[in-house]
Amino acid sequence: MKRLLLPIGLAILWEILARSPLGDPLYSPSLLQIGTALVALVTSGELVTHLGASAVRLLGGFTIALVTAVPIGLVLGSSSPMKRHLMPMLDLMRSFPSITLVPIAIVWFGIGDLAKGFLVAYACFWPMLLNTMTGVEETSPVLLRAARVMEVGDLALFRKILLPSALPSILTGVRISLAVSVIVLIVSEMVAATSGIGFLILDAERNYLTGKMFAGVLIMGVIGASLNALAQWTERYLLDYRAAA
Amino acid sequence: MTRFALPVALLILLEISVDARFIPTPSVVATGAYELIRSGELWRHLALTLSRTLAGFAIASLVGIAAGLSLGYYRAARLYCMPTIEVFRAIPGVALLPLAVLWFGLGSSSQIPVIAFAATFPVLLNAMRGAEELPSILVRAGQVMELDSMSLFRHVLVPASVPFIFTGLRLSIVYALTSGVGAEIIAGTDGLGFLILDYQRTLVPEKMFATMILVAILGLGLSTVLRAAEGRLLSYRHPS
Repeated sequence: MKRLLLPIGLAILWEILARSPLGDPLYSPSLLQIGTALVALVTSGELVTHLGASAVRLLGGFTIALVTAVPIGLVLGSSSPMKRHLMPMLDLMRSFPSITLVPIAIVWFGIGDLAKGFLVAYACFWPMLLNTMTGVEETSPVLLRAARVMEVGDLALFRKILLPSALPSILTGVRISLAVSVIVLIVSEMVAATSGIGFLILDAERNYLTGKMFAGVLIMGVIGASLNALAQWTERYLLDYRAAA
Repeated sequence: MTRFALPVALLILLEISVDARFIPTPSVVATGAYELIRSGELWRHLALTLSRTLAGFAIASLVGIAAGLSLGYYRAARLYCMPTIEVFRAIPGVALLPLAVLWFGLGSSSQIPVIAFAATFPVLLNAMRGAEELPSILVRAGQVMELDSMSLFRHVLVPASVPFIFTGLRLSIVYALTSGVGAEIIAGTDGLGFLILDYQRTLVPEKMFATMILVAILGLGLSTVLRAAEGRLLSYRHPS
């Protein structure tokens, strides 16, 4: 109950201001207007289109980053000569804020899903890679020596020792990369796109459909919160054995 | 020396093998950077991006530190406010740009609020954790010495939370720069983000790449300044 007090209070305050002479339906739509716009978005199927487009880009890019960054991170983290050779270059490439790649992604991949997927993958890749490497580096040397004594093969070493001990750090990387990739996705959808939540919000603003724009922002918040919750749940689920041990 | 062998080899490969309109070759970036610096058009945009980022960051740190410490110290406040904060935190700052443009107009007046919004949450959450994890023995010691709540705040709570606050600030400055450049890309008429998009649209790749590298350097510079400030403020913890 206490958790709801502040949101309800804010909603009432908003409604009063929106309906007072201070408010203007063009700039501060009432909750009714926002709600109506939200319902219209759902019933017209527009929401599904845009949500689907954003989800495909986000999931596609995220998956590409995950399946490339984690193996590379495991190998790089466990091999110091490779790290020595590659690190200066990786440091250089990751210091490019992925947001500055939005314009060049259009040149490289056009204004479709490919460009957005690339941007998301790029934004996700670096936090995942670096956190995987950190996780591997922090593997207890006792475990590694024990594995060597038991003559564990290379592949088994990665799967049974390095990956599990790097997992908490990898999941931290996943959470960071989710936050960054959503920002990059929104920007690229606002710059050049014909679908996606970012496009929906900007398009509504340009047409002065303020209620629709607020509905879009609200949906964005729900997406962000669900991604957060999903990441937290995964973390708890995968790391459960640690609490039990 | 060997550590540079691979990057240098790669740069040479880039230089001779790719189409400079699509992938930055070192010579193209160098000419672009030279052109930008010589013509002087860069400085105005750099100053704008930097001032917006810093203004938003300043607002974010003030709000974030104050709110975060209070929320961390008062359990009841956390109970009431956290669910709402979690929802707002989940909205990427740039998603609010259209709204900000509608309310405040184009330019800095809409970009600074967006930057401030995006940069508030990392510092807020970290300051909150700092205050939450404050050893209760310090608070009780303060109470025994009859500190009033204001000096307890200033002399116990704030110093104990400084490492946490800096962790948050370092994250915040990255969010501030990213959101600022992102906002300039979406709806800017000046600033480095606008410059990158403008050079892309007018097909001047050498200047575009040079500007992108400048943003990277700006980000590294801002992080370095924060790190140095942290080292100086916390030096008493590691007396040499």
